[in-house]
Amino acid sequence: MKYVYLILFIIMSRYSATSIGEDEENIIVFSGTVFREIVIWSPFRRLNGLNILQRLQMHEGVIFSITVNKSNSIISSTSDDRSIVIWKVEAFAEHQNTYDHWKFAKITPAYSFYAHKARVWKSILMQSGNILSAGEDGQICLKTSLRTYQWEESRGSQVRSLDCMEIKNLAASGCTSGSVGLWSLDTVPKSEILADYKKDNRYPKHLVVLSNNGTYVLYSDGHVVLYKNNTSNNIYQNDVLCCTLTMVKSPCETKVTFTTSSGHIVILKSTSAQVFFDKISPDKIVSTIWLNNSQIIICCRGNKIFYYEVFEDLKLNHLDTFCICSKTSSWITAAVLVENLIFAGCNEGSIYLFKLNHQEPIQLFSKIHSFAGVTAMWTHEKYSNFTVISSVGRDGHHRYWNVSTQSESVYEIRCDILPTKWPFVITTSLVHGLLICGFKESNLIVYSPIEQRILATVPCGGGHRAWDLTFNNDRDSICFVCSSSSNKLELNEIPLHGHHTLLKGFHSMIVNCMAKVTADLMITGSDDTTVRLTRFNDSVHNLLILRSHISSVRSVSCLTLKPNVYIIVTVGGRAQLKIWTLNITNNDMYCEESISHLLKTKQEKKPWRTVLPSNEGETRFMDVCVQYTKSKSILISVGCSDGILRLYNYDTNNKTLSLIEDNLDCNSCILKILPVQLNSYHYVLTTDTKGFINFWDISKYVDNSDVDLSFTPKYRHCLHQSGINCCDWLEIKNYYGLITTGGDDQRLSLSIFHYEDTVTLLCNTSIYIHFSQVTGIKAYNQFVITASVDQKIIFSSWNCDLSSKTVQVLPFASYFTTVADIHGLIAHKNGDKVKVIVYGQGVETFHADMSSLTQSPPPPYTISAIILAR
Amino acid sequence: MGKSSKDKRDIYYRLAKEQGWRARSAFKLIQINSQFHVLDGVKRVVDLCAAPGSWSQVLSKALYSDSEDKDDVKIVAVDLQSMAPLPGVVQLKGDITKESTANEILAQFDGGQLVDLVVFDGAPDVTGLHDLDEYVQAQLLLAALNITTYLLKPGGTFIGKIFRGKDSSLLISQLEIFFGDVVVAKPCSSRNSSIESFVVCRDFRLPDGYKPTMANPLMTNDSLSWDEMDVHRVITPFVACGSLSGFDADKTYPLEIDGLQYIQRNPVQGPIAPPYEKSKPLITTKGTSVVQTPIDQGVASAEKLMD
Ligand SMILES: C[S@@+](CC[C@H](N)C(=O)[O-])C[C@H]1O[C@@H](n2cnc3c(N)ncnc32)[C@H](O)[C@@H]1O
Repeated sequence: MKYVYLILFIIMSRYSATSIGEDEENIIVFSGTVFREIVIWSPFRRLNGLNILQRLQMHEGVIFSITVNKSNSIISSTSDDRSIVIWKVEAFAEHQNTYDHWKFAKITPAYSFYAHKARVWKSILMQSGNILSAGEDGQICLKTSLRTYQWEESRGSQVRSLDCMEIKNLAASGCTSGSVGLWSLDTVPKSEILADYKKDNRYPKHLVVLSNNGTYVLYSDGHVVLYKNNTSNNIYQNDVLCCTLTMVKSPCETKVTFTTSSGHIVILKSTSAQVFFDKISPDKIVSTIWLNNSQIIICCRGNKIFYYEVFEDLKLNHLDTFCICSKTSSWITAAVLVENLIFAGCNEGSIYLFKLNHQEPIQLFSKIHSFAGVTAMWTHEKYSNFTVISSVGRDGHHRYWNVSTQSESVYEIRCDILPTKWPFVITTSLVHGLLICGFKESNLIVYSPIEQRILATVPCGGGHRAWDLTFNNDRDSICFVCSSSSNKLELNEIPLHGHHTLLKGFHSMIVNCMAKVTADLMITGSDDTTVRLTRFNDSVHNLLILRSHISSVRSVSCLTLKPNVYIIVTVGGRAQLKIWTLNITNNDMYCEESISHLLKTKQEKKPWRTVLPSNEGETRFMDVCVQYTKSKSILISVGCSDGILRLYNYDTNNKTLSLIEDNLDCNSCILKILPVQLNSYHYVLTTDTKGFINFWDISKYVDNSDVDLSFTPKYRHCLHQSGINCCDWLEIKNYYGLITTGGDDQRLSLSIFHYEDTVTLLCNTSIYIHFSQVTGIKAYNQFVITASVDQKIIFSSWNCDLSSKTVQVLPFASYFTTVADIHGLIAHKNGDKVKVIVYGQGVETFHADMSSLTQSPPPPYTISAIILAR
Repeated sequence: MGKSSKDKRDIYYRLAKEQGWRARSAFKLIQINSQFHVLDGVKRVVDLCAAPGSWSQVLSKALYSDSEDKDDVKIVAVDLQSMAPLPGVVQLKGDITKESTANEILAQFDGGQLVDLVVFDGAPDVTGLHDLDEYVQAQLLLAALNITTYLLKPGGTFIGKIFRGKDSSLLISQLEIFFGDVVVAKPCSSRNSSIESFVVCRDFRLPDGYKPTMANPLMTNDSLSWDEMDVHRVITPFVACGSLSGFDADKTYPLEIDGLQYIQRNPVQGPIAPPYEKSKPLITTKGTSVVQTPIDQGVASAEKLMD
């Protein structure tokens, strides 16, 4: 992505520029200024001392890009004001040289348009007249004379660079997640009109699309019409159908059911036009759900649920009846069958577990998907004693459930936040795996949770009309039919294969933290709110993306529970803490969100005092560490932005979390914490924004003893002028230990402590080795590695003499990384080889061979690097 | 999110409203001054990139109350953006990278009198890409330094915002050519997580034979090559300023501190006409993803520069 900078900064202090021309005399430079102006220059040719040919003003913000078409007749420009302006260039005379052309041309703005919701980084004028643009909103737009198509490269990241090759109809894009994508500009949705129903004075009430693109439409006059291959056929008519409330197809698409407010049901066989018609309920039928190809559930007013078998001759056989106990009117909107259990969601967002021959639900998750309702469910992997089910709802969440037929119970595994508040289908496709469709504003979107991007966005007028869709695996497309705003029935074929990933991306924002799960398996957290599980070897292999934190993820810590089972704790903004249980078996990965916790105090009700909103929701959890206690539960220490060190206890058997201590006050915002055992005491060290390090004795909680806990630190010392961003601990001998710290003050500091009973500082030293804040540190015997925002990783040797109370440190080698804004490092030493991973705005891994490094000076050392992302 | 959430997240944002500053940046200058006393005895000052004007507020408060002869005091504030008026502060709208702006500022100090202090708190629109932001910031600081070479009296002081990153050492060594004493300072009102810092440059002296000019870029800001990256180099001292007992910019404070009552307040001075103002209603129009607008030819202009 570096080339973007080049183009941007040809001319100092100008924000954008482009140049054309065949020889020096005719070189023309177009530059955009911070002053909202486009300036056209001839840098090597002056007239009366002037080399500015034209100035164009129209934009209301900084100009980000300028492009000129091949024939020099159109200019397009993009800006901070979110608009794209198209300028018309009228030549003064024909066959001029470039210089004269631009000198005498009449340039006027033709029109401007808004295609992006944020800053527009680039636009490209295609010879076809189409305009391609990319923006901060992560969208790539192709504007043709008829419509505008848009694509997303990677969720939550911006598209920073864009180019296109028109003869091949290809575009390439680069985005802030580090990914590079290739797009086929031919692969756009195609639409066709099936019917113009206005003239018949009726409208489509419901419709279903089959995978052969046959579309059954129920009109308001009770007619069922089949549209297929440019023909339409009236299939069936019944006045009862005028009050139809639901029309659904069976999973095999051979049967279509209609149910009405009068309690009637009609079943159509799509293969033979056979029909079944009956009144099955005295009450209004509000919903129908196919559980499989021969079983349905039907919900009636009064919260009653009937379970039927549908025979091949379309006759119905009543199997069971259930009911929902709710004061309000409630019905099932999505359901799946797991052996003898029915897992179902309702219109009020609750989820129920029913068991055959049991009227009442055996388990209830009240309003789990918020009041607006559950919209779809899907059966995923089946394990020996449980099945994974997922549900989506109008709260925009995708929840995974563990449904156990053995214990006949359900619990939630984890939850992802979707890019739409109105998902309505979960399905899998051969090419993309799991897919979720939903409405977003007035568009239909197709989202891939695996690729973490929206595969297609198609304007459709929103979900409040008759619509249905089906997947075509052979063509890797979706067929979507809806009634349009102009009283027409429109069929859209939406291709899903227009994108090819050339380079895989990573987090779309700063990587704040990284922890090791196994030798090459890392877990990372980012400002983009996701937690990722990634294998780092010769390449980056993304295994899992967990998107459920509501704010940035600041720290992650990992502990092995038993072979192949790991406990991972993530903390971040808005005082959120999550505990994940990760199971890794050969090639399968199962991750469960065991705890999701938000810091909140029970508001004391003091009626005589107006209670101020508490600050806890705004507290950031800055750092976390985990350790086992004597009683085999897990002690979680969290350093918080309100200066408090909070301790939690997590019971892995019952999966319960309790806050056990929140009175340890460091006064300033805590930046890092580190657990250490000194002699027989267990400490947590905290470092803060004022440069202090505090030793907190937490032996009481680790040893489960009943000694009293002191609310003041056992030892406290100021090591830096301002914040301490990183620290590491190394045991020396005879109760002496080394603490290495890196500060906002650009210093590396080494302090030797004695800790037999009390903690005392023996000696310390500090040096300036970086040009910016030090953010990553790792200490080994004889040397220490530091990383800083100045993009340097420095190896320094150290030695100490305990008798004379001296410690010395000297840098001996450095390595420059392309990762900007480094937030930390992880190092792993194996003999003389050290593997270092630095993370920040991207990730880089490199290896250093200490045997050649320590033979200084001069350092002909070997460092080999693999740059992983950005 | 509640209305008071920003107050809870950022103590200085809240304090700025309570004390009547237009921006929380005011505290940065106050804290730098309490450490280095850069405002002592100062009468003429230029505030580069001043909008919305909190540094100018601090300057005007300090300069007018300190001096016996208020007529000697002169504060010139320059920014690209419009800024609400402030009594006692001359405002210029201009781009600090342009020579014309330098001339306009010079014209304010008639008789070619030089100034005692130049402050610069400019920041380009941050793109979120740190290395790019750092580069643009360095370019802007060099532009400020260029202007300063015209304006500052020998022995005068320059304070400028920098982003500490991979090239900041080079930038600082360039500053050391012009100043006898350069220190990097970080006020405690600047967040720990931010890459922002300030250079406090004292004892200005033009190198022999150097003629101030804006015509060609003052210096290039190329990265050092691989082998130049040795680690034994003089490092400019770093000073954290603001007393240890001062408020912590990163800490989440309760709304009620030390029993003081909390009142929710509006910002002192909001931004004037952000560039995306016009697009707002257009890009939120429901049902259309692209909004095309006709051109108001009265607004647009294409100026042809003929001989
Ligand atoms: C952080 S604000 C300054 C805040 C100010 N010191 C205060 O205390 O209120 C940065 C300012 O730099 C201005 N700026 C950025 N680039 C500029 C340029 N080239 N010329 C002049 N002003 C510029 C912006 O308009 C913006 O108002």
